[in-house]
Amino acid sequence: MGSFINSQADNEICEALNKRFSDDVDPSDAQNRTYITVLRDHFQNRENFLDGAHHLNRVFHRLAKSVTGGASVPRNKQSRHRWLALLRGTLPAAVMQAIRNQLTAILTQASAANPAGSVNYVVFSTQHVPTRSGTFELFDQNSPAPQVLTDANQKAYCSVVLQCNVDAPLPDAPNETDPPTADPGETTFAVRRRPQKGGKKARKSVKKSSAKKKKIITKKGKAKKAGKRK
Amino acid sequence: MLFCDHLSPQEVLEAKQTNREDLLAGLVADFRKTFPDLTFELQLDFSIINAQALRLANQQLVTIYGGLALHPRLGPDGLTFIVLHEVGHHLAEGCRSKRDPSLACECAADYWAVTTGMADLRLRTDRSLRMQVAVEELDAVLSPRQPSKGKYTKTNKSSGCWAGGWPSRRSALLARDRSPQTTGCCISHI
Repeated sequence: MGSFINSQADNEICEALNKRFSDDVDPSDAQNRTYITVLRDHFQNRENFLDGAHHLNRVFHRLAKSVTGGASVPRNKQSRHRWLALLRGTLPAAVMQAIRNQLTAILTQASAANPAGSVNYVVFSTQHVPTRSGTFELFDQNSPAPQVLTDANQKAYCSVVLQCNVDAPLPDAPNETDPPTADPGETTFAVRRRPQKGGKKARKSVKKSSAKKKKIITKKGKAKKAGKRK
Repeated sequence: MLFCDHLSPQEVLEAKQTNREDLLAGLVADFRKTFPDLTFELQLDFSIINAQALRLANQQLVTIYGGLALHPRLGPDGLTFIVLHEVGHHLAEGCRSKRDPSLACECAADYWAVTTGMADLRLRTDRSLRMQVAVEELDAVLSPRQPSKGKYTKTNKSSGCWAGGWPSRRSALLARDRSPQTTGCCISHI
């Protein structure tokens, strides 16, 4: 999505999802696999997080956190609540099902009938457009199969587009449960560790400097005590 | 696009009364003539202040939403630049958008707009773009939304693009800076 004016919350949502479904190497993976490969492995062998027992707001929360290392997305609380409420209940059931279907196609094994299973990455975007149903739709008309495209580098990718028919801001949801309640049968996604501020070296030097400070303080204390004695 | 600002109903009404729709029809006609492989859409019933480049099925879409198309602070030059920028997302070469690798990055789209895009448009339609005027018009729209230092640029560092902040983007547009030569630009070339 190339929008002329970038909106913070939209950017954060799309970037988290795009990263989680990207062909960038997942730094938390011991085998140096890409994010999408790790996610396919998780989906196929550990947990079908797109079945009816899982809630999309919770799934989004977990996917985003596995990329940010812990921070919720979007960072702005009001925007996050509006977004989570949309995924929890505002979207029509047909759109929710289409999201489950398209993502399932992307994460299951590829076949002649399912080319989406082998795409290199997925791009998530939104579009404001009049829809046939008169409400939200997942392109194309809530199709269960995502569109498979080829980029300039001849890489195959899927484009998942949420179409919005309404010309109004998303409604506020101040009482939204945040983070969303856990679903039964969850298994932990590999989480990228947030880099610690300063890293090990910096912490060592902090220790050194605090040790130096201690020495200085004790020297000063000794000098004061000596002065008092005098 | 779900969290974009909206133009007020009053401003939409005022713009429609000033024959803005004629100006927009002429603009879109010129763009269709110059770039026939692209699909140009005016979505005036949506008041979000934005425009968008998007690949949908086999279409390369450029959409201008009502909030931007009818914005009272924008004239023909500002609007021409906006549409050229969106066309640049589809046609520019160079670094790719982090958010959608099928499109050119913001800075590559900007550079293409003020060089190749502008020249093509003038050649095919005689429509010219006064960049200084366009930038002054865009000041009012973009300055409050894309400050150089602030909430947006701090948290958008993953896109690694100087075009996120309007002041630096503004300077680069007026100087017609080629994106890879600009410090801070993303370096993920094709």
